[in-house]
Amino acid sequence: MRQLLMLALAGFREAIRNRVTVVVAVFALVLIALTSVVMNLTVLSLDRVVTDFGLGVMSLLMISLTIFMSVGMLNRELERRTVFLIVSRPISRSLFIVGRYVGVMATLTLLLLAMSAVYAAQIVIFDVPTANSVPAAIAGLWCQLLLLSAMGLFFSSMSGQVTAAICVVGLYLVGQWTSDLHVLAVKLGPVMGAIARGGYYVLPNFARMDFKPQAAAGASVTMGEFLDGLGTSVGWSLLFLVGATLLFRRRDFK
Amino acid sequence: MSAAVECEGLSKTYKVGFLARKVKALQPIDFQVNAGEVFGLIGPNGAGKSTAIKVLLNLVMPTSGKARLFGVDVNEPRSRESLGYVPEAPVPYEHLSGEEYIQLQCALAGLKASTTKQEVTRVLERVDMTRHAKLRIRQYSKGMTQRVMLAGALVGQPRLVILDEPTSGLDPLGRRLVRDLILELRRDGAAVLFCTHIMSDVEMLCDRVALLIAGTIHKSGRISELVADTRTHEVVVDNATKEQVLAVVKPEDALRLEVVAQRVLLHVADTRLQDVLRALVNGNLTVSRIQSERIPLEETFMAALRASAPQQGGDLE
Repeated sequence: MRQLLMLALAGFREAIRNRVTVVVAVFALVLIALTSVVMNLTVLSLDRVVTDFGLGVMSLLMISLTIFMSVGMLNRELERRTVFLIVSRPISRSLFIVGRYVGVMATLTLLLLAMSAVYAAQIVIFDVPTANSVPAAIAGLWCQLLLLSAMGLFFSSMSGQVTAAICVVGLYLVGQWTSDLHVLAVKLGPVMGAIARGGYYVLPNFARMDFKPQAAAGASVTMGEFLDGLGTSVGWSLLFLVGATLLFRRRDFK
Repeated sequence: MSAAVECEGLSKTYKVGFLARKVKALQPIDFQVNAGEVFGLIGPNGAGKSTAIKVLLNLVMPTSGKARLFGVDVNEPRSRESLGYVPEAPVPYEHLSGEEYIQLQCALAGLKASTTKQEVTRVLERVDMTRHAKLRIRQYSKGMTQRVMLAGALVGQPRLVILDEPTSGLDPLGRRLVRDLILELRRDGAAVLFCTHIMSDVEMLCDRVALLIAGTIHKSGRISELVADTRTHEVVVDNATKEQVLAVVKPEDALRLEVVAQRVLLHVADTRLQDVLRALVNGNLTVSRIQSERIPLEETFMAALRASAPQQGGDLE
């Protein structure tokens, strides 16, 4: 357990001392804090702007940062040969992968909490009425980051950085519209319909973890909806993580 | 008690490029490193030295054969419980300080949190890096980085230390530190396996060596054994001319012939010495001195390389 925590801590230290992470975090915090500027430029209601803009900025920047961190991590370790210094110790490669994953998630969680704090301050300052969907949207975003990190590790454990990034971005985009595949399956022929229906069942459905629309509309999120999103995220994350460890265990470090 | 390192019929074939072209990095090789022994793996670039080490560390999977550390198969993490390793040209976690890096190594080596502080101090002192422990590794010079890597390898007082080119790029002070460390480890009963191109280090430190060329072990054994079959002698013949000597000694018996003042110096292989001496005595020439010449390991290495020149640089299947 100590080995896992120290590996995660090393990953966390790397991430928070990385200039890219710091720049993205500062950028996000400034953008959220600038919601008041955006308010003056819109014809929409104040409540909607604060909720939508804040969550949108957090979502966009955190997802971009997650993809950047998760697909680059293993390849950086292999290029710099730092992985040699870890794997030559009496630990399994699976522990290395899990340690790195925990490190990435610790960093992302801390950043998300920092952004959420600034966002909450905005809500209090502008006295925006909120439903439970706002915290649910933030928790949903965390679920998406959990899954995206696992996907990034999975693809980078078998391919280069660019290929892994393309795969993760592709799956994320498809995952946003997975529900549409189900609707499409009814309208298509038997073969294409079966393919569309298959896609619906085998692709991770990111829309289940996305509660931003409810938050922007001031609607509430039921516990069932939230647990459905959380379960989807945890299930898929475990699957990708197991896949990543299986691939990484057989990989030659030339 | 099991040897620190055992390799039996170990081979590795890499698949390279889009067409998965097969490149044999290691032909089946066998070697063993015992406790309290310094074993040198020498050979030109691309000979397979690093691949052999990577197999021992489970960084690459062998194509065939077995490798064991302290009798435990290298596939099992517990085989590396008492192992220290310094890779060639290491680029460690630059965002960590030297102290944080050693703390990480302590945790990975399975040391308890209560003993970590003491161990960090011990290993950093041993490589004379205590003063710079709080600095980030990215601020270190190459020599300082190598010292911290060595400190990391010493964590937990390992019974086996594997060093890949440990002295390359170091100043004379750093090289001496590495040499002292290796000798100290041997004195403490640890086994040391190291790869290097610096033959003077090998001659100074190694109990046994294996010469690896194109993935095969060409020669192995104690250094004295390796250079014995290439031992030569300088035979000094007084008051003679080159022609007089060549009249009795066959040209193929002498490796080299020099004339210095009234003397002829003959360089003769160990195997031909008796024949040459007999010929000189029968020809009534005066042999004033016979001196053994020990060919340095580097010459042995170069001779083996010349003999196997076509095989170098990885064998295509």
